[in-house]
Amino acid sequence: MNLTVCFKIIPDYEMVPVHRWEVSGLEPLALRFVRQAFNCYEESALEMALALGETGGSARQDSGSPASAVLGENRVARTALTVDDERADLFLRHLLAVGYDRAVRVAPDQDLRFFPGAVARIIAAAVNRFRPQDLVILGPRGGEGDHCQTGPLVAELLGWPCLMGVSGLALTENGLLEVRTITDRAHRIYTVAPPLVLVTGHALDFSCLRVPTLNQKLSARKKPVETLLPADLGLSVGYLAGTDPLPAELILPAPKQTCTRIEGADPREKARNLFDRYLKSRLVS
Amino acid sequence: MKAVAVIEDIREMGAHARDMIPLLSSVADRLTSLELWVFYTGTPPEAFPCWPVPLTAVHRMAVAHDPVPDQLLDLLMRKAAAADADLYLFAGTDNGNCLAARLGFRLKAGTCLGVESCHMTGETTLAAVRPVFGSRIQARFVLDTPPWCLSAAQNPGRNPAMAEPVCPVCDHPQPAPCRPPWLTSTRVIPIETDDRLSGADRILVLGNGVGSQDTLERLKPVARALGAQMGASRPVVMNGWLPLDRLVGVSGSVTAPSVCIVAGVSGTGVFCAGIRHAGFVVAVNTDPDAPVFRAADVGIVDDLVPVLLELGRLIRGDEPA
Ligand SMILES: Cc1cc2nc3c(=O)[nH]c(=O)nc-3n(C[C@H](O)[C@H](O)[C@H](O)COP(=O)(O)OP(=O)(O)OC[C@H]3O[C@@H](n4cnc5c(N)ncnc54)[C@H](O)[C@@H]3O)c2cc1C
Ligand SMILES: Nc1ncnc2c1ncn2[C@@H]1O[C@H](COP(=O)(O)O)[C@@H](O)[C@H]1O
Repeated sequence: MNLTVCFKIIPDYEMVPVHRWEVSGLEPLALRFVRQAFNCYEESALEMALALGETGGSARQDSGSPASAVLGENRVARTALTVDDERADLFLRHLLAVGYDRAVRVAPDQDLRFFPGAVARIIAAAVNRFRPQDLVILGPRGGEGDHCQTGPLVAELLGWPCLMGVSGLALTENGLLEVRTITDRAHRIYTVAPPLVLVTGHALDFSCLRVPTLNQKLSARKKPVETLLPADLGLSVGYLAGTDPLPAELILPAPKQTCTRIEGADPREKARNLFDRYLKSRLVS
Repeated sequence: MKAVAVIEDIREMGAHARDMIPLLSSVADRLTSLELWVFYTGTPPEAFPCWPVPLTAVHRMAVAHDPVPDQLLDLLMRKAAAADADLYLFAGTDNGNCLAARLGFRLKAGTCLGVESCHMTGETTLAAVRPVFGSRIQARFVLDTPPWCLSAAQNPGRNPAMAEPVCPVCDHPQPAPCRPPWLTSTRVIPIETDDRLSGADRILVLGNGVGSQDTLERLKPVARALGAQMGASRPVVMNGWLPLDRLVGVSGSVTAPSVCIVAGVSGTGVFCAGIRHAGFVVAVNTDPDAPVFRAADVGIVDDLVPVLLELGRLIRGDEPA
């Protein structure tokens, strides 16, 4: 089973209050230098892929054992893929350390945060380049543009089916895959024949990505982060010429009224002040 | 302009219509027709939501039980080719987004998902506003020349009234094929849910700051005293402390309570999107700089446990402990 997980690190939006964001073109300047992090849904996707085919089923494992130590036919080869600049390399190294076999970064020559169609084209071309591939796994939403469409677009470009809201995976005998999905109304368990695009949802069993041990970190240093250009994938500048509508402007929220702090000598007095001054009248109905 | 509203999950028809109505209302004066396309399983639906403009036609399409988006897409594509509408509107659920993105791709349509508001800016251009950058801010997208595929952000409140349509109701002749070859089997395990969050008038939302399931259990009586539904941030549902239908935010429910108490939640943009329609917001957090205070009317900087327990006692009118 060969799979590719696509992720895009995002800035920690909360480090700078919105009223300090300064929009310049399509760039909130304040975010350019803030700390970057994995998107939690993509962490789930990355962890779920690591757990797939690990001995002992899909349960989480000690971070000590290499993820690719699996049995014969059930060997899973995992690629982590991002379309981003060099700030992503640190995260790709983390993924090599915890068990990804390949870490690939496609370096676009322009800012693609508002071009989900272009990002999807790059991902599809990379997956075609990595063939044979059975699965492409993405998050539901992210990449700063919050387009919510990259996964379905990759499915269209590859001509593969697509399942949404994926919460778990397991290999079955005879080369099929069991895909679990979750909504607040139902669990669904699909038995499917790859290839397939999967978009993760509330993966309750895979809430975060494992942390590498020191040894894993050291040995990962020897593995390369592969860097490709869109041109290496046969994509010319024309790959942008799609139907992605461009944002005309970014809109900052209207400044909210300031929050009144409720004081008091201790928590109980604060609760009393809250109740007497603000809640009692509102709770009468 | 010809518009089509697509209901991909019949069980959610009311809620999906509720989400789509604000977008249709804002282009209502340009609509020359509005068709409703409904996928259903079992008995064909007879009553349909009331829209801002009268429906021109209802198309009922029978599908296999619990279809995956791929099963609907070919049928949708065939119907779209015949209908040649300008605007296709979907619910902003996972499957709604999946269908909108893929239909948009096939039709080479201008596509924008999770749209909060839209309006026509010219004869043939549509502007759509939706959140970007982790829902911290919005962006206005300009979509040139139809067709357009949009999905609607959640719009909290009451579902529209249902009525038997006065327009023609057309049944799609053949049901979609049962199961695509790649799908060997589907098993569905329903989760009991009561959908009370999006319509709730009071909500007590607990975040990761609650620390443990035990503490959370101790706070349930406070919610009862408040007459409030319990809501949760993502870590709380990921830890299994509350079920998934309690999740507040872009990935869960968008709520509009008149009173909302948010305790032990940091207040990221994706979470706050779920409480921005709330009337009066109280935040309780030990960190005075927590972003949640920027979304609150009043705030208490303190440990949520003694604050909420005392509040419960005061509401019940208990003697001081
Ligand atoms: C694409 C995407 C979509 C997302 N969608 C959602 C969504 O819909 N809903 C959602 O909730 N999250 C969502 N998230 C996750 C979101 O970004 C945050 O990670 C999450 O909301 C954090 O939850 P929290 O504030 O409860 O936890 P934390 O970030 O851990 O914050 C806990 C807070 O509790 C405070 N605290 C600690 N102890 C106490 C105490 N004793 N008393 C009072 N306060 C205390 C701390 O100061 C802190 O502010 C999404 C993320 C992504 C990437
Ligand atoms: N630049 C990128 N590189 C790799 N994967 C991406 C990129 N942008 C988005 N994705 C993937 O697509 C998902 C949905 O993103 P979006 O459609 O932008 O909301 C994300 O959760 C990622 O898994």
